[in-house]
Order: sequence, then structure tokens, then C-alpha cells
Amino acid sequence: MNRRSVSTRVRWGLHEIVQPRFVLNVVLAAVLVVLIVMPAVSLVYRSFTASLVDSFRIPGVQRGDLILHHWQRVIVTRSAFFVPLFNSLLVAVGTALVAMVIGSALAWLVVRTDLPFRRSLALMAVVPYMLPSWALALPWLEFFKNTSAGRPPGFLQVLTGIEVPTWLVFGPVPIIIVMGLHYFPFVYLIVSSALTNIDSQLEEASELLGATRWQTLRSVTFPAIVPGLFASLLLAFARTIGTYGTPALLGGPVGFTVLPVQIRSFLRMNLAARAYILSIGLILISVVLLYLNQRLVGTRKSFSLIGGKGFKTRPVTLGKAGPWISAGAHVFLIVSVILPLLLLFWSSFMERAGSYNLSNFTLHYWFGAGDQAISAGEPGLFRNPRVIRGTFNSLRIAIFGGAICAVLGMLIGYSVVKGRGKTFSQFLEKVSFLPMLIPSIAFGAIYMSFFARPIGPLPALYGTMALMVLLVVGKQLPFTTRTGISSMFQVAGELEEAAEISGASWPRRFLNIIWPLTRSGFISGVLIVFITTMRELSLFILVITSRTEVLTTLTFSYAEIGQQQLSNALMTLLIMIILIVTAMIKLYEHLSRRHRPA
Amino acid sequence: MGSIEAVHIRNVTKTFGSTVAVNDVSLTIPAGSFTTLLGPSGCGKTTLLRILAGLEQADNGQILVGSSVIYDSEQAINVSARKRGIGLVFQSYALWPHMTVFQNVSYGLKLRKLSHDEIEQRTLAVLKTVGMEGYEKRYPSELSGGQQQRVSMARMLVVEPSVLLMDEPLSNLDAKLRLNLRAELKRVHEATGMTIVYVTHDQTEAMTLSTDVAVMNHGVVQQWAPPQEVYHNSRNLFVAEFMGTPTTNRITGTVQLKESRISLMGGVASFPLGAELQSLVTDGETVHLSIRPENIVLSAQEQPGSIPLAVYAYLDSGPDVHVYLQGPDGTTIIARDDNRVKPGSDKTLHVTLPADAVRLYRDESGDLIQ
Repeated sequence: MNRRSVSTRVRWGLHEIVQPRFVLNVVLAAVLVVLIVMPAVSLVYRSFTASLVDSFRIPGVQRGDLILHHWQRVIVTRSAFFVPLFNSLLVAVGTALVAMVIGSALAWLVVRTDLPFRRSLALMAVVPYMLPSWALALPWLEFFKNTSAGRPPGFLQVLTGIEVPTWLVFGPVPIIIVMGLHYFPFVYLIVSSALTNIDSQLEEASELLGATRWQTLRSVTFPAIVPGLFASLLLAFARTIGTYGTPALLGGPVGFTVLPVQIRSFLRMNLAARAYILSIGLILISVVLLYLNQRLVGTRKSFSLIGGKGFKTRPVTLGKAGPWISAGAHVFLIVSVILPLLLLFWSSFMERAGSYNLSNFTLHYWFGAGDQAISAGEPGLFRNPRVIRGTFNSLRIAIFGGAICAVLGMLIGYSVVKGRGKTFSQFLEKVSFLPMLIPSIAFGAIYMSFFARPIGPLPALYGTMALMVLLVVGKQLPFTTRTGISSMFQVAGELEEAAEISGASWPRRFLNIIWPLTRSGFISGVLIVFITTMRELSLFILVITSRTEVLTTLTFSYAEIGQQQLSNALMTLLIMIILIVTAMIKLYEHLSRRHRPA
Repeated sequence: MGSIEAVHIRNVTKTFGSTVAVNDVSLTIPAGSFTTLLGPSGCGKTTLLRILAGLEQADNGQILVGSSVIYDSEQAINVSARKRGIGLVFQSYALWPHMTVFQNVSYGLKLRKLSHDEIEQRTLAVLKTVGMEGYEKRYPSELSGGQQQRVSMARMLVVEPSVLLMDEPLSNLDAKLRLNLRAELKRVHEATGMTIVYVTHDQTEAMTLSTDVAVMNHGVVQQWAPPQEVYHNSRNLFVAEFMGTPTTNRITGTVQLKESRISLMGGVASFPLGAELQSLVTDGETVHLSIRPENIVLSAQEQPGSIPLAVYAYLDSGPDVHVYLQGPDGTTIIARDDNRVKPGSDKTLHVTLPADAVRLYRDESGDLIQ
């Protein structure tokens, strides 16, 4: 007590300043300013700044001048902003709706009914979420592709001879379906947790008063999950709007452009300022959505306020319809999740695209040496220097990014928990959550704008692995900080104080008390960042160079230039890596839970 | 629905996996009674209640409300919960958080497609009965625990169920509020005359509220009688020790038929064995004396037949005093002494066990010897 009151009085005395925690706070704040605040400010600044190209193009403008030119152009040119904006909104609304319908229906079936085999449904339902968001776009093309523009035919056309109409191959419809099938697990997870948390006594009360199952579902169950449903809808919307891969692959060939795609083409046209302006637009949309989401949580009708004791769940009996519904749901998930991946795998063994004969079988795309007769001389995956470098790059970025991000997350968590209520702690907490509001593609743009030239002692990082690692660290910080805060909450209170009173110094306390107790949180932080990074495309697509290519960008660029089998093979490889690492994570979590003392 | 009915439970059994939750229970709950199912947690009382409500299905047996069968395992009859006309007040209240008090209470009436006026009039009337008039527009999250409990009662009362079930309705409230609501419950029962089946593990609640108590343990009804009977003439040791705070005193002794007495505390004390009991016990049998703390008589001086015991704690709570005494063999006895007899300098008090307040139980079965 006494010690504390003294140190409050001499708050900024030397004694306080040399305290490890104070040093830690200053270092963390500096890191956050460089990783998040300054890049974001620079994005806005650069959107007003004339580039070298501008100085040639616009009379009377010198490089570095502040100009409104690009803002004006963006607003005036319909095709620059409003058309992609409209398309983005269209796709996001559609995707969110598709995801919501599939996700919430599955969640209800798995959580609240006695559906046979619902565990296998639950397992399959989360698979799309582990994969790259555009993983389904490749098999979609492989299956539906038509010959209208001189492309080789897809599986459907080969099988039935029907030429699929182009609107089903390219454009908003396939984009919405493919992204909806990727994002539904998101809704599924949120809604199933909302459903799990409803006290089933709420439903029983309704039943006892004479309500039928349908009446209860409509007047009690459904209102209870509405907040969760809305939240998942908004979040799915926010994610979709910043996604690059699928809209680029399925929209590009017919000129259907969304904001992320437009951002990349502006950068390629040397109109960086306009790319930054669109990124600002994307960020604003995302901020509004997440704000709405915040507002929805914690109204006075909140379901989380009541319940608690006497908690019971009684599944809804589906009776005779059960097996049929179960079969239908399994078929749906197999057709939309499993079969596409098999088709992808299969097509990677076809020498010529579109020929499903056994005579067309080849291992070339996996093991073949460079052959000018096939795929412009690109060797198979395992002998392809680009692929090998890309794999190593991916792994290095994911491992280093994961480790650094998790360390930062833990340290920030510690500072936030220890300094609860103080301005400094609030600053750290708020700033480290900011990247949540920034769509991946815009985050890439932000780093482009900031790290492309030297900053103080820091050299220009464009084209270096360091930039890629920083991108990962900055973007994933909200997640590791959240893990950090929650695991520090359990430790940094009385447990640490007991060590302090026993006479342990700060480093000793961290090593002997805090680290052993928060280690598992730290490791799961590393693993989560690792897995997200391995499948990430939108974050990297703007900043990669030939030296820093990763597996996802490489897969994408093969798909873009029409090397479909190579791209399919690479996607298969990527998915295998992701699934294996995910399985290892699950195993680790399982083991560490078993060994944790009670 | 509407009329007040008796409930007949016949040979109801329910198992979950290998555990028997309710074991061949038969009870008749008289119309208009306030019957409490009392027992420690896990004794099967809540399961029995949920079986009555139709939320769980029994494995075996028969249940009637009035003369209509709502469950019969042999005839494969199981009327669904929504058609039984039985109300249930949940432990967690289970108020719908997205509906106002009015909407919560009127829900059941709306399902019955009553006229707007009738719904409003009956809802307001029942809110008045539970003392919640004026709160119609509030949401559950804006009410205190006690208010929520009143609303959840009103919600079930409004449809005039033939039986009202209550599952530990007061256990989530703080002690003071619990006392107030206890009085309220008693008043509502008297005002409505409804058949109430009440589940609790709190024996004071059971004593004060009920007209009948069924004490349960391990899925079996141990005793079913009016509360005073259960308290004063507990049928077995489990019931005797479950009822009362502090619990009853159990003194183990050996029957000595020749001397017509029971030797206690390793022979330093004894208790006379009444003539009517002598034929019921055998010589050398181990028995347990049970005497409630308030029936023990303490005095500073030695009395005929009294046992001198050392005082080791004297707890004066204001209205009453609990004296902890210890025999030479370590037997602890708790006495409630309203006369505030003070121990002398030797820290000893003389304990008399009035014969009419002592109950004897067998060692093996735990049954009352009578």
C-alpha cells in the first residue's frame, strides 16, 4: 500500500522511469506507432501527394506537392470508384445472405436437433474456413468453364456437352456462390455458439404454455439468435468486401470489377494515389459495419443477461425426417466442399486441360522437368524453383510473423492488464485492435504507401521479406493481443504479486511465473497466425515482388496467366499443408489440455 | 384446464444411462395442496418435476392429473408438454429477454387466441396478484431477481393451469428477498387455491410453505407426510438428519435389555428404554438416538438422569444460543438453549434428554423403531 502511494506521488520520478514495465510500455507504444498509426496516416497523406509520374502528367505540379487531383478524378470517373463500389456491395450483400442461410441452417441442425451424424456435418462445415477464400474458385472454373472464349471446356461440358451460359461461369453470380460457400462457416460458428448459449428453458416455458414447435422457434429461438445472426452477417459482409482472389478470377475475364481488384489495377497503372483513395473507402465501409456490429451488441433485450443457473439443453427431435435431412445436408456439403477439392486434385494430373481421359494422365505438373511442349516450359511443382522458393517464403513469413506477432500480443496483453484503466494501457489496447477495421487488401496498400521509402533509420522495405513479415505482424496483432490479454488476465494479478512480495525481480517473475502459465496461449497464438498467413492472398497481393512471392500469390498468378493445371496442383499442395498443420494444432491443443493441471 | 386437480404418480421410474434418477415413485398429490419434493441435489426431485411437466419421459409408470392419464408406459400414452395444462416456474426464471413483462405474461393467452380485451384484462389481473402492476413495459433485464421471479410466476398463473410446478424458484435470490417471496408464495397459493408441486433442497422453505412434504433421496421417496410430521417423526435417519438446522443430534448406543436401558458414550451415560420398545429390539443391538437441539434440556446443576458434558463452544446469535457439548468419547451434542444457562467454572452443563423427544433408529436400515 505504502509503496504504491509513494510511487503515485513521484510518478515521473527516475524511480518510475527505469522500471521495466515503464520501459516495456514505451517500447510497445513505439512499435504500435510504427506498425499501425504512421502507416495509416501515411495512406491518407499519400492520397493527396503528387508522384513523379504526376509531375509529368499534370502541368505545374512538382513531385511531392499536395494535390486534390486524384480525389477529384476518382469521384468524377464512374468506372474508377462508383462502379466497383456498387459491384463490391452487390457481391458482399449476396455473399453474406448465402452464407447466412447455409450457416444458420447448419448451425441449428447441428446444435439444436437430434439429427443423425451431426458430428460429421460439424466437421465438414468448418473445412471451407480453413482454406484460402478463393480455393473454390479454381474448381468452379474447372467444372463450369465453357468454350465460348476459346478456353478448353470444363468438366460439365465434357460430361454432358452442355455449354454453360457465361453468367454462370463468370461475374457476380459465381462470385457470390463461391464466396458464400467460403464464408458460411463464419456464420455457422457464430450462430451455433449463440444457439448453444440459449437456455433451453426459454423454449420449454413456451412449450408448457401450449406453443407448437414452430411457434416456439419463431417467437423464442429465432429472436434469441437475431443479434448473433446480424453480427455474423455484418462480419461476413466486412470480410467479403476486402477479398481479392475470387472476384479477380471469376470477375476479371468479363470485366466485372470490385474495389480490391480496382485497387490493384490502379497500382499497376502507376496511379498509387487513387489506389490509396479506394483503400480509404474500403476502410470507411468496414469501420461503419463494425460500428453497427458494436451497437447491436448489448441492447437491453440482450439474451446474455439472463439464464445461467439451471442450464439445460434438450435437442429438438426430428423424427422420421431426421435421416432425410441428414442425408441432404451431407450431400450438400460433400458436393460443395469435398468434391470440388477432389476435382482440383484430379485436374492437376491432366496433361491437357479439359480432357478427362485416362490417356491424358500425367504427373508432369507435380514432378515433371521443364518441357517447352507443356505449359510454356514451367517445370512441375517439386522441380520448380519458383514453387520451392515460394514454399520457403510462405513458411518463413508465417513462422517469423507468427512468433513476432505472438510475442507482441503477449507483451501488450501484459501491459494492458497491469495498467488497467490507465490512459497508456487504453492506448495500447485500442491501437492494437485497429487493424481489425482494415480490410486485408487495404492493409497491404497502407504498407505499400509507408514502407516503400526509407523512414528515418529504417531503409526502404519494398521487395524485402521483412516487409512481408511486418504485414503479417501488423494485420494479425488484434488476434494475438486478444489471446494475450485473456491469458494475462489469469496470471498478471495476484499470482504475479505473490512472486513480487516473495522478492522476485521483474525478469524472474516473467520467466518463472508468467511465461509458464501463459505459454499455451502464446503457442496457440503462433499457430493461428501461421495458419492464417499460409492461406492469405489479399494481404500480400499488392506488395509481392518476384523475390518475395509466396505460395498463394504464385498459385494465383498461374491461374491468372491460364496455367490452370499448375495452379490447381499448387492449390492442392497448399490445402494439404494447411490441413496437416491444422490437424497438428488440434492435436497439440488436445494434448496440452490433457496435461494441464487442474 | 382451469379446474384444480390432484396428481397421481404411480410407480414412476426414470434412468439416465446406469444411474436411476427416479426409482419407483408413487405419490398422490391432493388437489389444492402445496406439496414439496425435498432432498439433496441429485436426489431425483427435479427429474420427477420435469417428468410431471412432460419435459422428460419416464421409463415406466403412470401419471394422472385428476382423472385424465397424461402418461402411461403400458398404454404408451405420453401427452406432450404443451397439451398437459401444467405450469412450470423455472429456477432461472426463463423469461424471454426480448419481450416486455406484458408480452411475457400474455404469451400463453395469445396462443389461446383470446380476444385482445380479455388478454389485457387477465394479464393485468395476474400481474396484480403477484404484485407487479405498473411494470408491464419493462424488459426482464430491467428487473431485479425477485421481480423476474414474480413475472415468471405470473406467466404460468395466467393460463390457469390445473397444476403449477416450481423448480427451486427462490434459490437464485439473496437471503432477505427469499424470505419476502416465501410469504408471497404462501399468499398466492392461498389466493388461487392451486395445486402446487414445489422442488427445493432448502428444508426451511419446505417446512414453512408446504402442506405436504415428500423427502427424496437416491430417487426414492423416503417419507411423505405433513411437514411437522416429517420433522418430529422422521421415518428414518436420513430424513431425521436432513431436516433441521443445525441438524439433529445422533447418539449411538447399545441396547442392554436386562437393565432396560441403552448404554451411551461408551457406558458413561445411559438412556431408559421404554417398555413399548423393549419387544422391538434385541439385547446388544446398536441403535441411534436422535434428539433435536431445541428439545435438549440444559441445567447448571445435576438433575435426575442427567449427563454431565463439557462445553466447548457457546454461540450466542442474539435470538438464540447454540451450545456445543462433548462427551468423554468424543460424541458432540448441539443444544439450543433459550434459557441461556451459563456453564459453571468447571465448564460443564448437565444434559437431560426428554424421553418423548427422543427417537430411536436401527443401525443397519436406519428405520425408526416404533
